[in-house]
Order: sequence, then structure tokens, then C-alpha cells
Amino acid sequence: MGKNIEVLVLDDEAIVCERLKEFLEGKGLKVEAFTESAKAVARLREKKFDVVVTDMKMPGPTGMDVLKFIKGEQPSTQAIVITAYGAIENFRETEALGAYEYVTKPFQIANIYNLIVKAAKRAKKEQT
Amino acid sequence: MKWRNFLTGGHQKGGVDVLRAKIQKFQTLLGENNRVLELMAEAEESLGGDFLFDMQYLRRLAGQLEESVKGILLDLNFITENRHLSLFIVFEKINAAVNDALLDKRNVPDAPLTMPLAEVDQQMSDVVGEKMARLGEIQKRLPYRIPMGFIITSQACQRFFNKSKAGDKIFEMETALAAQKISAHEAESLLSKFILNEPLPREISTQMKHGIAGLEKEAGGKVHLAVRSSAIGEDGRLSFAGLHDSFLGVPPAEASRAYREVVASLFTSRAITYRLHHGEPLSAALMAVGFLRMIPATASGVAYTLDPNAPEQNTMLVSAAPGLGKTVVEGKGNSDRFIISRLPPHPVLSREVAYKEKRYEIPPQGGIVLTEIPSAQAELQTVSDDFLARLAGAALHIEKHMKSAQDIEWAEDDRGELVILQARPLRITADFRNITRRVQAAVQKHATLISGRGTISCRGIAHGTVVVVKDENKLPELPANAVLVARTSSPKLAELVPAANAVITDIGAAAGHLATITREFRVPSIMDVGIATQVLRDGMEVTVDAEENIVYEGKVEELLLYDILSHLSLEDAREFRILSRMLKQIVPLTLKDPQARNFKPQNCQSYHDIIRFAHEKAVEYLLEGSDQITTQKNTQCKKVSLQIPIDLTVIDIGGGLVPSSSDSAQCDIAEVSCASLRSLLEGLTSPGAWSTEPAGMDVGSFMSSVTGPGILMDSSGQMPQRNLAIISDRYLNLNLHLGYHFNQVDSYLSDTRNDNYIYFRFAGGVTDSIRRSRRARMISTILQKYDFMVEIAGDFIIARLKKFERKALLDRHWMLGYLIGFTRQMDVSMRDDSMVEKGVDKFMKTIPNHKTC
Repeated sequence: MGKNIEVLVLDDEAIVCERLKEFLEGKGLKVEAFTESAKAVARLREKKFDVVVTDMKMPGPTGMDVLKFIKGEQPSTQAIVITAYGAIENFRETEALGAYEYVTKPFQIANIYNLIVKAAKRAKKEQT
Repeated sequence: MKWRNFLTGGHQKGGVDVLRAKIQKFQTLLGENNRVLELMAEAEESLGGDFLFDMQYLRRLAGQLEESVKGILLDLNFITENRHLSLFIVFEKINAAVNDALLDKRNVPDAPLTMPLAEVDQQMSDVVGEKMARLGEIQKRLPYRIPMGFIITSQACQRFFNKSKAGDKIFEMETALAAQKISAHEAESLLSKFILNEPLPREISTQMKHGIAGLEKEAGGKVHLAVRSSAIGEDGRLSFAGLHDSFLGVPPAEASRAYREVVASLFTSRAITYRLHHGEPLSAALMAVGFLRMIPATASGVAYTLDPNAPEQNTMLVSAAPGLGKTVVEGKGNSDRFIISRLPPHPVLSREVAYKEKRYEIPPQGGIVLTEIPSAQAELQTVSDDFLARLAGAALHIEKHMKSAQDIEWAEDDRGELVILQARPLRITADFRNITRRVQAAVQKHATLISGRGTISCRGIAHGTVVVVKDENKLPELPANAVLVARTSSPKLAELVPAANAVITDIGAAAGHLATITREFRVPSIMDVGIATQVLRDGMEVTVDAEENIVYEGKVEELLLYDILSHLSLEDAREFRILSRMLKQIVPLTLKDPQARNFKPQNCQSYHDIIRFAHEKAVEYLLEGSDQITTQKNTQCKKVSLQIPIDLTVIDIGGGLVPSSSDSAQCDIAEVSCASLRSLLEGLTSPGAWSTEPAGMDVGSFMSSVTGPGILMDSSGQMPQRNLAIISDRYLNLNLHLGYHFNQVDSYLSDTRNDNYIYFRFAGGVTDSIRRSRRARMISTILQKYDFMVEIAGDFIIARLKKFERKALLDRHWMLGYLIGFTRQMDVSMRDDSMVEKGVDKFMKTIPNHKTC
């Protein structure tokens, strides 16, 4: 199921990165995880991912910046935004910027996997 | 009565305005109350391991709880005109403790200065340090021997630092290190000298002597001691491995010196550097110290439950040498090495028997010495294959209990018995992609019995034989490796959890009592599966994957290995530990019975207690007030005439009563336009719900009349209890005392499904707590049949239902009315556990069919 799905995970808190990476790799996805958003953006400049899972509020470039970058440079890449702040303004803004989905912490790990698989399908479709 | 002041004379209009304001505040209080309950449920569910969260979430959780609980207190004091200001003091104390937990501040627990090792378990790591907590856990929960001993706790260490002014010195060094005025080496030298030269406070040395005397009495003579470091805070994040000192063969006369040496090793330059690197302040460093009786070891060594060189091979690695374990641990001499299969009967797959020239022994005067091994013995295998198989079995049992690969120090005593000296997580780096591929290939060969149903309440993977609990009142003896399967997640099953490999139930919540117990004992569990008792049969061999929520037929060996290898157990993560500590200040409910003497602000020990107390007092005060209004014949308040002996006053805050020209203080059900209250009252007064048969009383039950107004008597047997409903066209808040128990329904009903909810709370009763908890279990089972999420604490029930259509929600109000009537005296008849199921059956049979959802 998860064959050839390439995911970039970005969260400044290590537990989210580590656990998501471990879980998604266990499902056969290819995962690169970053705790520093500048490094993640640098990696995004080099490589195109199917799905980017990003935290919203981080030091340096924020989730919103990452989202803008993706939609500007790699429109087929799907972004899932995770955050502890369930503010409606954030939701509207991410939606306007074309985020695939918006989830708040705490979230079920299995659910985010399902979301990633669906998002990846759309990414592959938009690539072709 | 202050209400009287504004409801009489010329103040009536003002009084009504104040009443409105108070009711508005009461609604806000209820809203905040529900918010706190929801946040608590969400947080408890998050601990189950199925969810992922981080510090950001925890900070938000603490902030929201603080805001809501504080809001509740403000509302309560508005309603009661500042009668409960003292609750703010209690609140501040609990709030400070929650924030300390959030900052990972380890407040030294209020614990004795020493503790016997036999009384310790893994929960006590703040008191006895991780190392001793794990050792105690092995003795307490598993059938293996550990050395006799006691621990000088973190509390004692704190007292030593305070009394000796070492605390000030440590802080001074911390500041100097931060300013780079001194090096870690200089700090070590200064602090060690200071700590070693300080005398121990008398109370600590007295307790130490007492502890040693106890060990000598047990041994029937002099003993030598292993004095072992057990620092506070060595956990999944910080291992501190090898950074602190331990001493072997210490004679009692040198125990005090050894204690101070171990404490001083908190501040070796390596430990200082490690702490600073991980952002752990020096001033927070505390050491518990274990004093263990030395084992007369003929052989000792180390067992790794997975071979770090080939973790995918399903083998373990054991090193062994004659004498004390120091030879192996410090690599001071040659030792035998064995690769042993992890599969029973644990054959030795390969062996390297070394020529062992020397061994450590304890000479009569104490200390340890290195002695020559006679050449004839030097080339013999240190321990038998039989012993190795026993060791392997024990090590894997410990691994299963601790849920990660283990690094275990062991000894064989002079009677050939195995003794566990230490167990800690073994960090292994494995090629996960390779293992994942093997797991994926392996699971293809096994039939999937259940997949994606229910909620994981404790993560992990387990294998075993299915044992279905058919009657929770006749619990089966669990064989080894049982996978416990049950219809409900009854708290009765809790006693079976420690012996089970996994638990699966048809019905139940991840935040329920049984789920909590499975987490405590780290038994993989899935609740609310729905079909487990239909699909899984007694004697079936299954592998429960409570990571992916799948049950496979047979034993999936690769999956079990994967579980051990993926050692990054969520429960070990700092965030989980912090949440768990926060919840200890938030969730436990001690104030359950409003009639009890302890129902006072100063006895609130958690946020849950505070909100429970606040709610009860707010209702009480509003009832007092409504009494005054009713006598004033104010049209906003009426008594509802019912066919049953219940005294119910409604306060209509908008559209809850049919407009009436009559100024009567009474109304009947037909005049109630709040559909949810009307539906509930119809259920409550329907034939069958309000039984007029006398309940079967037996000796020991509290006598209480059933049909007469006696049911409404309070505990003094004199006054009928007043009940209050606050209603609007869509909103219902009903507070109903029936005899000695209490029902609360808070609900919102509209055509917008997403806004709809019911909260139902139930507590109290006439009889002993066992009968009451049986009734609670019965009610819980019934509510779950109607889709409620239910939590039980003793006999206190909180049930929630959200986002149901109008019609379905109305049916459930009707059902709740029926249930309230049906159960009002059931605790008296709950003579034994079989009555729980009988009660459920009777309810389901007697409730009219169209209401059976």
C-alpha cells in the first residue's frame, strides 16, 4: 500500500518526528524527518516529495511558509498541516493555500497514515 | 437567606434580574464543567498510545484546564455570593502541581527516608530511582529472586543536601559553570570533597543502621553490601549509564562513607557534562541509593535479550564468568559467551568457553579481591546449559514485562539459584526496513481474524491462547500466555490483567478503568472491538497486534521480534511521562458523595474534585433560591406535577414552558415545551419504569420505603429532597436526587446534529460500596448499549453522547428517564455479581421495544 510514497515530516518537537517516522516506515513509506524548518525547506528545494506533513508553529520558517513554498514550487505535493492550535483563522488560511488537510494534536497515528495515503494518491494523479 | 433580600419587598424585579444572571453563570459553569471533563477524557485517551502529541499540546491542555477550572470557581462564587472562596487556595495548590509536572520538575515526593526493596515497584522511580524501581518491579510482579535490601530515598538525599548546605554549594557550582568560570573537573573536585566531608544527618544514619541490622537479622549474621547508585531521572531519554558509582562488598562499618561516595558521583565531571548537555540542571540532581545484601555468587554475568550484533536473528547473548559480576561488567577478565535461541526450550546455538584465570570474591573482612582460578577449573564452562535455559526464560519474561529488549545483570548463588541483580533497557540499532519487509511477508501467511475495529488502549504486540470470559462473576484461572477476551470491559476483569498477555473486549473505552489497568501493567489491549467474543474462541492461538489494531491467527514470530526491536516505546517518552504526572493532579476523583463528611473544599485533591464540588454547591444554592421564587409565584419557576413522588422545580430560561396565563406555581408534563425534559419525564413515569414492588431487602441493607414519599427523604429521614431542572426550548440541565443517589442530565437538542449532546452523571446509593459499584456496572452496560461513552470511578458514572440526530437523542432522553426510575433502588438488590447481568437483561426486556435503540 505504502510503496513508493515519499513523505517529508517536519515538526520542531522530536517526539512527533521520531514516532511518525518509525510508524510510517513500519508501513513501508519512505520518510525523511526534520526538526528544523530551514533544513526541511532546503531539502524540499532538492527533492520533490509526494506528501509533506508539517507542524504550524515553529522557530524559523513556519508551517505557513512551508506551505507557501510547496504550493509555489511543487504544486502537486500535498501538505498535511498539524498543530496544537485549532484556530479557525489558521484553518481558513491553510485551506486557502491549498493544504490537503488540517489536523490538531493530539491525533491518532493511524488516522494520519490513512490521510497520507489518500494525499499521496492525489499527488501521483496531479503529477501525471 | 440572601435570596430573600431581593425577592421580597420592592426588590422583586431586581431579584429576578439577579436570578437570571445567576442562571447564566450556572450555564457558563456547566459549559466549563463539560469542557474540563472532555479535556480530561481526551488526555486520558492520549495516554493509551494510539495518539501522538507533544509539549505544545501539553502546555495548551494545562492552560485550558486552568482557565476553565478558574472560570468555574468564579461562577460558583458569583452564584453562591462568595461562599466558597477557599476553593481558590486549593485550586492554586493543584494548579502549581500541574505546572510543576508540565515543567518536568521533580518535586521530591513526600516519602520515608528509607524503603525496603520488597515494597518498591516501577511507579516509585521518583523516590527510589529508576534502577531500584525496576529491580523492585521484577520482584513484585514476576517470579524471580532479587537480593534483599533497602533504599535510602531521594527524600533523604534532599535532606542531606539541605542540612549540609551541599544544596547551596551545588547551586553555586551550577552558576559558575554556566558563566564558564570553572570547568566540570573543578566542579567535580569541589563538590565531591564537600559531600564526602559532610556528616550524614542523624536521622539518615540511624535509619541506615536500622536497615542494615534488618538485613543481618535476616541473614543470621554479618553481611556485606552492594551499595548501588539509583539516580532520579534515568529514563528513556537520559540513561546516565555508567556515569554513577556503585560499590561491592562494603562492610556495614563503611556504609555511611559508601553512601556519600555514591551521592557524590552525581557530580563526576562526566555526569556534569552529560547533565548540562541535556539541559538538566545540576540543582535538580538527586540520588537514591540501594543497599543490597551481597549474593554469594558462584557465577555471574550479563544477558542481552537480543544479540546486538544480529538483532534480527531471534537470539540472545549471554556472558558468564566465575565469581562476582564485576569481571564481566567491567571486562576485567575472560568470560564465556553463549548465543542462545529466544525460542523455548532455549538451546545454546553457539558457545565460546574461555580460559578464565581470575575471579572477584569477597574476603571475610569485606571489599573485593581478585583471586586465581585453579587451572583445572579455568577451562570449564561457567554455568550449565540447564541454567542458561532458565536464565533465558527469565530474561525474556522480564523483557516482555518491561516491553523492550533488556540488558540484565544476573548471578548464580551457592545453591545454584538464579538471582537478578539489575535490568535496564538495551538500546539496539536495527535495520528496520529489512525487518519491516520480513514482517510484511510473514503476516501474509496468517489469517487476519479482526482488523481495524475498536480502540487500542495499550500499545504492543502479544501472542497467546484465547481465553473467553463467559461470566465475569466466575473468572477463569488464566493459563500461561493467555489472551483474555471478554464481552465488556468490566472492572472485575482487572485482577486477571497482570497474568494476561493481551486483553480484547467487545465493549469499553480507552479511558475506562480496565484500560487504565492494562496500561499500568503494560498489557497490550484493544477495547470496543464489537465482535471479539464472536470471532475468537477458547483455545485459539492468536497474535494480537495492538500497534496496528489487528488480530492474526497463529503465532507471528517476526511481529513479536519487531515489537521488541522497536524499542522507542511511547510510554518511555518524556511527553508521556509528563502527561501521566499531570493527570495524577487532574483526574482522580475522591469527593464522590455529597452527603459524606469529607465533601469539603479542603479535601479537593484534583481538578476533578474541584469541579464536582463546585457543581454540587451551585445546584444546592440555586435550589435554595428557586424555593423563594416559587413561593413568590414567579412565572419563571414552576413545580411539575408528576404521577410519581418526585418534587421537581423547573426554571425556564427561555421557551422551556408553554406560555400560560395562569399564575399557578404548578404545571404538568404537557406544559413542558422543552422536548428533552418532556421525553425524559415520560420515560420516568411510564408503566414499568417506576416500580411499585418493594425491593427485596436483606440483612445489612438500608431500609427505605419504595412507593411513599420515603424515597424522597434525605439522610435524616425528614425532609423530601428538592430537585431542579433548568430548561429552555433546546437546553436541559436536570439535577435529580432520588433517595440517596444523584442523577444529572445536561443536554442540548436541536436540528443541527453537530451541536447535540447528552451528558449523564450518576452517583451515590444507600448500600455498601460493592453493591453500588455493581449497580454502576449495570448502568454502564446499559448506557453503552445506547451508544454512550462511559467512564466509571467506583460508583460514579460519567456518560457522554454527542452528535446524534434529534429523534435519536429524544429516544435516549426517554430511555434515561426509564433508566433513572428503573435503577433508583437497584443497589439494594445487587446482592451478588450475577445481579449485574440480570439487571441488564431485565431492563432490556421491560423497556418498550420502540425505545430499544
